[in-house]
Amino acid sequence: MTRLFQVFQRYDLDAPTAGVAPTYPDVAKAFGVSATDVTNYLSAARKTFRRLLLDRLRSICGDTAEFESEARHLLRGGLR
Amino acid sequence: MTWLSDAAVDRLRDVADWPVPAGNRYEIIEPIARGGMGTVYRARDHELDRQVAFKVLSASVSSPDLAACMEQEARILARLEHPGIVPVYDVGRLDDGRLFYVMKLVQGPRLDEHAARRPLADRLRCFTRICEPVAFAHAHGVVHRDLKPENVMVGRFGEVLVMDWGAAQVSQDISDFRGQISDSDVVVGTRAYMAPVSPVSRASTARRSRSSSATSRSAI
Repeated sequence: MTRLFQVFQRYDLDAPTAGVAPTYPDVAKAFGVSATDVTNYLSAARKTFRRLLLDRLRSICGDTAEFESEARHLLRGGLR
Repeated sequence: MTWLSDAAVDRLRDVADWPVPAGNRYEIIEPIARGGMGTVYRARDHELDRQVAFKVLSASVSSPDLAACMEQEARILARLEHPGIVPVYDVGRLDDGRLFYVMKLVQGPRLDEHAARRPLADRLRCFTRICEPVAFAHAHGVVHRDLKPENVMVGRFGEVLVMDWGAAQVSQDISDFRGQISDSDVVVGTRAYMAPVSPVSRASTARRSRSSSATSRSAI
């Protein structure tokens, strides 16, 4: 498992499940990286997650209108 | 296969669109308000060790007009240094080009929530505190154009702040004011709080003060 995904897992998956809210410096310390690395890892992981999610959604929707509607529902911030 | 918890799925639905500002100064914590133009997040400013409000243009909005409105809003807030107007701390762009600005995090209810449980004297005090920044803005050539209880916040220590200057118009010449009509001929503001003449004609500042009247009625 890459460090990038480990940071994503700790900050965005495990923490909310456990009801804790670690900060970037907390996560950086846990993995022995800088807080800037945490920022960059999270940014890259979230973009990748979003791309994979939308690719999958596009593949199961009948047309563009349905895809956009489903994406708006699924991602609270909508499409960009 | 490991199933994700509901909390984790909820989190993923949110964070897929959360901005991740470059560097490590700002850390987004959670969204606290969503409007037609942008989303405001509670964020941590690691450099100054304080929480701030981080406003960014919504991912779903790509209109250059709205981007320009938000940029103007940041400039207006920076220009209007007044205790009743939320100060801007920083402005910048995300990696994807979206504009963001950082402002003071106001913790407290909106005027409509606050007024519902306060005595008349306190509500009147709030109203006079709203008039001060609005008058200050008018003196600096800025008309809010969307003054309503939802755009006023009352802080924990009774401070009253006028928010959401995205619909404001700036002009040094009173005759240039376009009422509630934007440069692209779109009606801006909230109909229930507009001066009756505003949507269809250019209104004077005095007429526009009717939106203050509607806000005061609402507060009282």
